[in-house]
Amino acid sequence: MVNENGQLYTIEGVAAGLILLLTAYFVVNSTSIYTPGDTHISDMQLEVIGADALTMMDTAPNATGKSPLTQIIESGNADGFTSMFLSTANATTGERQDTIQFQANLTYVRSDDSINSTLFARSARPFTGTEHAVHVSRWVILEKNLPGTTGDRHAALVEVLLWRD
Amino acid sequence: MASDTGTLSIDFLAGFTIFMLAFIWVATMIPGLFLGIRANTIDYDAVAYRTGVILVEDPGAAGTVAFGGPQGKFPWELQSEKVDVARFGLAVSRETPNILDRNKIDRFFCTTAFTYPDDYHAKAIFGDYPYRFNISLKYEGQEQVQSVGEPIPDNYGYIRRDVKVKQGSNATIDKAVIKEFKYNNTDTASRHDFSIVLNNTRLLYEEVRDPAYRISTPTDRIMINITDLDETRSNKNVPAKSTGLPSGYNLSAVTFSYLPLGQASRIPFTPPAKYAAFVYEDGNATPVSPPVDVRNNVTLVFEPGFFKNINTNSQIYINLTFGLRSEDTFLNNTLTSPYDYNYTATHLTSPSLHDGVLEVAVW
Repeated sequence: MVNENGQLYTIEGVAAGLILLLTAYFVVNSTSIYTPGDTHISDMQLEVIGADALTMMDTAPNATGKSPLTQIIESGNADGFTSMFLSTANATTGERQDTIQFQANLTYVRSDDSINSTLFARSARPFTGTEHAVHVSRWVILEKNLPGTTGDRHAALVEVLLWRD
Repeated sequence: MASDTGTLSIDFLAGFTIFMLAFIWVATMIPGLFLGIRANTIDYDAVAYRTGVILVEDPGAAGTVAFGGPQGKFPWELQSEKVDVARFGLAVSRETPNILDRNKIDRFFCTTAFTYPDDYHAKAIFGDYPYRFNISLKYEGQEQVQSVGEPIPDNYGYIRRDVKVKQGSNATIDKAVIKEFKYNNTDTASRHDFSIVLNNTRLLYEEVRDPAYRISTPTDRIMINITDLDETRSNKNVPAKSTGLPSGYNLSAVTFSYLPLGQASRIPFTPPAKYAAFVYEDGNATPVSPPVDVRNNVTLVFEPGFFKNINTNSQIYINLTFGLRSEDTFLNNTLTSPYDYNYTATHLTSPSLHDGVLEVAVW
């Protein structure tokens, strides 16, 4: 004999099924697939620009002269570094300049084998730590004593953190 | 109180059918997830990066297998047929990334020599997908942008490279040089010849070996300005124009020869026909070929490739003959020694590097 006593079970079953499907629909629809290429492209571009800027600053104007980067580090010319790095890294072929900011550290080994790392130069906006920055570096050979060193020639590491404003 | 007496025997079948239909519907949506993902859109940035590296860090390559073997003797920018260009590359050499050659740049951006997009795609972009692109280069401090390609759309792959562009060398032989080296001390000379020597062995392999800074006679632009001709002349017996004779000092001929290493006599040399016009008289903007009527200044410009057929261990001699009366004291070094075009020469500007920026956009 058929009666309507089990109706509620059926309705519950259908409702549960619909909720399940709806959930599956939303999950599948909202998933976007990241490829390995997508994730680090902007970092790679920024890194190329930073490395190029340091390379160009470390290129001497003629066969016998010193590179501008070496001269700047030897003379401690932080303003010179800032303006040269920003103009090189922010140059584009279009009308608008890029908005790269940076912070540069100079690291070298003192005569007593301790490592000295100091802030050398930075752009107008200070580095707070929340920026999505990339790191580039370049070794330079200095023919001048830095504080705490003796001798003729020293290797110093110029490390630059750069990010887009 | 609820009981399950209302359950039909086909309830399970109906429920399962609904579930299966819905499940199939969801499953058919899954391929749609990947609809926006195609290999070529993912690699726009990668292709731009690769093209940037090819252009900035590679000197390019010449030669095809199909057309009589590699033309590897000359770099790609000196090939007259575009089929002989295998790969573009703007770097001066493999050892000098980011240092670009001015002549390669000018040739690369010459859209009459190469067609967009086919030639650029085959020799710089590569790949099977017909990418569209825009490559541009700007010199720092200049407004002009050299570019090839289409206007850039909203979505594209991109790379930017900072570069330096090597410029050609030039020398100015003015009154100071003429007096210092006694180039007009020619009382006993029978005719007025002035010679210039470019010693390839010295220029390429001795003082400056770095390709970024050296004077490379086969591939660089070489410019020689000779000025103050009038001022350094003593007897002003210039034939007047009205006599029908050539006026001015009439640079009647410029001849070339070279002395290979270890040989005793010079071998005459004729530059390729496309370089026949290389003399700029008195500041004119258009070059002409000798004989040329010059007044006070003359500039000789040897474009890249002018000396490409001369072996790089030879000395190149350039001889200027002026059609002037021999009794006039004039620019003449037949009794002294040729003007040596080298890094330490007086009033010589060695190749210099100019800042620039190169951008590649691919879509």
